[in-house]
Amino acid sequence: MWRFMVRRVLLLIPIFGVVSVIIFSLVHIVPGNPIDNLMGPGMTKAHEQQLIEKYHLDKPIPVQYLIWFKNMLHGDLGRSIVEKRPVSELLMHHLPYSLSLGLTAIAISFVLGVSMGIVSAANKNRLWDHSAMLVALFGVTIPSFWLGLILILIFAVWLGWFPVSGSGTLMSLVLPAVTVGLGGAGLVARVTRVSMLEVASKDFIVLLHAKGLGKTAILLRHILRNALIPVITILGLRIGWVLGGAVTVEIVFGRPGLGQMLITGLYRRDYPVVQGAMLLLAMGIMLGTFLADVLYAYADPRVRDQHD
Amino acid sequence: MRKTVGGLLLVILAAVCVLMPASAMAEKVLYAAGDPNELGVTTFNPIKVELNHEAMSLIYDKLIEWGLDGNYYPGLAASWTISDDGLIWKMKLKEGVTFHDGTPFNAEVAKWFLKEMETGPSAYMVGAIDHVDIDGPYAITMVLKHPEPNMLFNLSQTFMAVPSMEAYKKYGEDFGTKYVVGSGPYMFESWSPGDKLVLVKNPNYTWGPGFVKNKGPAIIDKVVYLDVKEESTRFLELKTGKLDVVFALPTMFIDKVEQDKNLRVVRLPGDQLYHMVMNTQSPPLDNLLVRKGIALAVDQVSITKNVFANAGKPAFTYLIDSLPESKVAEKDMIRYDPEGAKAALEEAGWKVGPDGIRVDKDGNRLSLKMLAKNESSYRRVAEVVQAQLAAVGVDAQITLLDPSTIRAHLKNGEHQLAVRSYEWENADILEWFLNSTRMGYPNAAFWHDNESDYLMQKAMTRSRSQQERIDNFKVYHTYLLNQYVWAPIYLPDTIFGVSKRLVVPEGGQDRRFLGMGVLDYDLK
Repeated sequence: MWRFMVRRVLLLIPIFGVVSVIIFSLVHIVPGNPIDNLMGPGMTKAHEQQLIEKYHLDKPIPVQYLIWFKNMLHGDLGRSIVEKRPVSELLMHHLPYSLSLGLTAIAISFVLGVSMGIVSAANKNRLWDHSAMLVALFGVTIPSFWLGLILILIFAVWLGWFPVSGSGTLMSLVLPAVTVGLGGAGLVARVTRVSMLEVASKDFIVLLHAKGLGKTAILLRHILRNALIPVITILGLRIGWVLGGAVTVEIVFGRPGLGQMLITGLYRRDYPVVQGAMLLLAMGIMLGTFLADVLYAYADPRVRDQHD
Repeated sequence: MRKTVGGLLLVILAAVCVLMPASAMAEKVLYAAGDPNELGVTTFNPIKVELNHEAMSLIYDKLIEWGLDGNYYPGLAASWTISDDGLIWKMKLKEGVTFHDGTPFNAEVAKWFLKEMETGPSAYMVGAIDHVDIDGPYAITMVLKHPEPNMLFNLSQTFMAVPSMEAYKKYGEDFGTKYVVGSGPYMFESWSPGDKLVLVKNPNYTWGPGFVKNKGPAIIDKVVYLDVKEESTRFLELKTGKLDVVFALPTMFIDKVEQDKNLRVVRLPGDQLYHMVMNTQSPPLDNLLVRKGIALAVDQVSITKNVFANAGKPAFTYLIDSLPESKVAEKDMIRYDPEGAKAALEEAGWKVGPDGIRVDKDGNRLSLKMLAKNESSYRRVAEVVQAQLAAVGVDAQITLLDPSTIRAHLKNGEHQLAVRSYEWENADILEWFLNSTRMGYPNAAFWHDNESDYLMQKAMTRSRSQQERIDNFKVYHTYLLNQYVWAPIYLPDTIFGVSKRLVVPEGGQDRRFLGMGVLDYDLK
């Protein structure tokens, strides 16, 4: 197991290098630049030149990359060209909002999705199955910004149970977490159902039935445990996505998370901010994948043995 | 015994009420929100800032204030006189003004500030000043290199707000982000980017500008600006009472706000102008007659009514209509005239083809590339203009892009038409957009014309008085209108959604609504 984990961690290093090159290149390939966005009536060419030199934008892209990468290794992600603050400070400011939303949403996805998946698999092709899968389909396909606005209208405007937007309180976390969580729950429910039905058709389950073990015990203790392996993978991969991918929900609910920071940075072509945010999100995805791999290996000895 | 205890409790309660600070008893907090991109961002350092935040006008004082009536009022400058040749400006400064860090405002600070402004992006605002002399602890003389009638306007802008000299020097690069020290009616308390900015009342403030009745301190204890990106969410927050003011209320919510008994709409004259830029170096737009045909085909009244629900006025010139330089002769205004448009295009050699789109003698179709921002108002304007151009035989192909990408396209001249807007309250905006030294961006019209540059230089640098500047700009503006470099479209009002909880006195002169006028506001 340890050898497996060390190998996975070592593999992350070249991936990190490649990801950093891709991020830097993508950001600079997009047309437009941050300095044009800052120039307003009356500002002089001299000021424009001063800004260009300050942020090394006059240097070739590979040189700019090396400067950024070298500073990054020293823990310096640069200063925001627009907001004038250190990028690391901005990331630390926005990260907790994304983490709290992301982790709560994942918990909702897991609990709701697995429950729906179990109900569905246990009642294959019956009314409960069709109902649960309809709800799951609804969760997967409905656009999150629309669902968010509907939830605001019902629970914040009409019923007044939750605030419309904001980020400081636990109550303000509920509606955005449910909005993001429902999307994930639909996916988890569908994967859980398929996986459980697949496991249920295996010989050892038939044997357990033949031995006279209770239906519920077989379902929860044997089928579900084996069926959860792909669910873990999905949730692991979703950690990174939820951190940065909840941008529309962050915008609708006015949460200053990483997704919103990234989009605003992109809009303004604030290169250091976009690079910093994308790097952090990429690391989130890498970490999520790593965790999923480890859990997968822990849950399924065949994976572990294969690598050892 | 019970009576004694009850009496004692009453006495204690009364004592607590008397001793408790008024703010703790009923703190008055005003909540405002707008699109973070429109509210402005970056730093609260007025000397180094490129994109200003609305709150700058509450944290800082300016030397001069500009009222809604177009008059200039005393700010930190109590009075001023200008010599006949326009070169000597004598200013008496207000006494007893202190910054939020307790340091005083005086002639030494004013002199340092006017010099320090030269190091920032708004250096041009003090470009005409040769040097500043200190005449006394609260008196300065600005000696100008050349007459600058625009100096009053410059001194009244938030880009020329005065920071604490001591704090500015002490905090260096952190001034404006972590440390914000002005002398305004509100003090910086905290700023959480993307979330909120909290300002707290300056209890020592007693030097409000000329146009407010209450010279200070402010009645409202705190002003909180919330960053809420989604316009529907902003509207719902206003409706549920969490917000008191919404900046730039979208036209689709105006009716809903007007119908709500707890809300109202406040309209101020706008400082924005929608227009369509024509690339004058891209054939066939290098032909004046083609540009004229296109400009006359744009029905500004219809766009104002159908796209913007009459929440503003149609534009017939290149300047916002509150500026005297916009008052050109009627014959020089660009008004919708479909017959005139067709005649100009015919005269230019473009005849109507079999499918209704015009063709030249070689059979080339009159098809043009149009760029617009991928935001609903620009998209809708572009679509309506496209239909209006089609009605006179011009085919416009729309491409929607984000603002940064549009600028890159404009720089490279990869456009023929572009639906744009600007927000500016001075005629010098014409110089910014149409100066031949700034081709591509901001001069997206690629306008290069010697006569135009001459008239521009004359208006910008050779005007000795305010009136002469107005006259010179009118000549320059008229010339540009007759060259049809842009098609003017629409002048939106500046619209705020406001809770009736906020008590705003009639006849206020605050141009920003939440500027210095807040000194006179109260919350029910």
